[in-house]
Amino acid sequence: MSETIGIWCAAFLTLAIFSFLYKDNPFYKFAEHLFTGVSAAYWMSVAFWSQVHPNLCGNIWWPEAFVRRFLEFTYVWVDRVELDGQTYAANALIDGSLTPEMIQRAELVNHVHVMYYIPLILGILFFTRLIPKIAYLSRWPLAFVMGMAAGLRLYSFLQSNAMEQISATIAPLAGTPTVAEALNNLVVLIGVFTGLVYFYFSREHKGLFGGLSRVGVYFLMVSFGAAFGYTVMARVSLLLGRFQFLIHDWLGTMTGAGG
Amino acid sequence: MKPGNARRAALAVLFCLSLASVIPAAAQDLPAAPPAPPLDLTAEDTPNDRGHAIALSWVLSPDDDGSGRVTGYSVWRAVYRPGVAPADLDWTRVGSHSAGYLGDERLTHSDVSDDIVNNLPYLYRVEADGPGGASAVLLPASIMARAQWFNRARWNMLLAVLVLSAGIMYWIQKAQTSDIYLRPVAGLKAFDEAIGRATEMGNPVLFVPGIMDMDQIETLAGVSILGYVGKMTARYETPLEVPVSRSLVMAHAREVVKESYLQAGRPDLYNDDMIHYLTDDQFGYAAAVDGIMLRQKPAACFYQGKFYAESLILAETGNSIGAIQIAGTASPAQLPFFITACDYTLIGEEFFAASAYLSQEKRAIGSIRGQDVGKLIFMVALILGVFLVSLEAVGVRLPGWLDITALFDVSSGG
Repeated sequence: MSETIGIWCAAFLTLAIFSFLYKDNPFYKFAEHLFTGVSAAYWMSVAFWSQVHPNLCGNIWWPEAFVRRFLEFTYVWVDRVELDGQTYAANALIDGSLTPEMIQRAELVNHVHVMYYIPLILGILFFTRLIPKIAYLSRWPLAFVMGMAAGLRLYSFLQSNAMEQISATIAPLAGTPTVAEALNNLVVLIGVFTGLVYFYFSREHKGLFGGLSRVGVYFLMVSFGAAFGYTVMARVSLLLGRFQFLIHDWLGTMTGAGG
Repeated sequence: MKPGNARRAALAVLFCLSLASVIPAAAQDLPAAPPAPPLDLTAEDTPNDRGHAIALSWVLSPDDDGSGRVTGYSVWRAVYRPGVAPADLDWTRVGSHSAGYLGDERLTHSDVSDDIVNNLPYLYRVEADGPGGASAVLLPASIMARAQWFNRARWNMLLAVLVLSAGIMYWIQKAQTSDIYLRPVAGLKAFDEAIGRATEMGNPVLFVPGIMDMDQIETLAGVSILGYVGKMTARYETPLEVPVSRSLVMAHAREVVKESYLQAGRPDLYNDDMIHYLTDDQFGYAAAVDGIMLRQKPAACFYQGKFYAESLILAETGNSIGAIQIAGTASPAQLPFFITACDYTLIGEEFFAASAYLSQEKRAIGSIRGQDVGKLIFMVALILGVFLVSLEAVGVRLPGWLDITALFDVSSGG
């Protein structure tokens, strides 16, 4: 019964979203607000339990009484368990290796990393936005995130978009096993070279340089066309998935054929 | 052949066949013995990594010859304790391999796990498993995993970063004293036109900074462009609407837009609600932005940042309300959709260069010139590299220092 109600709700919301194709209407508004609100809460919860909880909470010090208080919900705070001279991994707390009486007697050892206090402090600084007098402190973690992102991405972009691209493009134009392979290498070389010319900003695109740049644009447009067709097919399969749900799961519950 | 000889030969064949059918049966009756152990087990710390990894290799068991006496290999690890016999250590099985690697001289196994504590000695043993049991070879000495500060296999990346950084810094300095030409980019010229149109129509400007967080370069570039758009909307007193999908982007975008309104001399027009959070969910965000478009009817829509599948949904909705649309992203899979549905699209590098173009700040323009010099180096290397490998391919022997492919090889190292 609950499954049927779920299917009806999902079908109603799917049709409500589809109604946008006609025009904005109360059904779409309802589905949109519900989706936005529920997903905002959902992702906040996911972010806490998948990021903050294991990465931060699991690496800073907590009083043992506090850890024991919440042990039935999580053992992420515990690094290892010491009992009668023996050491157990933290998951021994839940896999049945230790009885409740043994857990009571055991010493729960934290896994403390001093480095993790830095993100903790930076995270707290974010909340200073709520106090106007010291709101400027919230810029520090922002500066940290931006600086870290710029440095980290410089390396990865340089590796994947420059070094690996150049390395893959350097291929022989003669002495290849087949003529087709040499032609293929030539097309790749012209595409990459003229593409680089197109993205060269500090020189006027006139004469030979302009001609090469134009060839680069043609290569870009051909690749975009191919990507368009490829991705559209993937989107159509998503649409088919929704239709399958409506026809098989939803209408099936009415006719008794699916579900 | 004489008839007598033929009979003898037939009898001999029959005898051999009967013997052959008896011998396996007799062998099956005997208890199977464990296979011979693998040989020459060696281990070393995996180089150029953060530790937590040991590379093992061993010579196959002599019985691993396809006869079925060896079915596989098990790799076991234990923390080494001085004075404790290996048999008494607490062994953990950390890997396995199938038998039958005939022709391979050595079998290798990489034990990578956060369970391996750096600078703690470990012992390994490798067992050859078979129907008759297992026999093991023990590592003769303990081994420790160590973290390295530098990945020496990536010296070329360091060189590339240094050369590019030096070029950019040089041109940033140079730009302070000399003018640098930048070719026109159509999409950037349209920014003022789009905001002007929104002002004339009395409708707001919508700015979407993508759906990713501040750790993405596209988001940083998008928010940087938002600074320019904010300045223009402040100057023209046009309402600005910036829905975001990440809380960090919201915080940063507020700082940027606030600064822009201050620079434009209209801090009174700024309020925090211009930049508001919707949801982290990709399609929840797309649905909400679509709703905003339909109800507020922005006259100009800017999509500047990192986008995924929501790109076409947003751009199509913007198109349906008749807004002038300018997109900018470096996501290759989304560019075709923006090109199709928007009036102007900043492609990849154009998008990154946009903030320099728009601000006309000398330092930013100098950095564009510095990047161009980097591209020039890559273009020259490309032509030279293709020429050299073509020579090699036709049989010309080149000295080792001319191996230009090694300069760009980033496949080695962890």
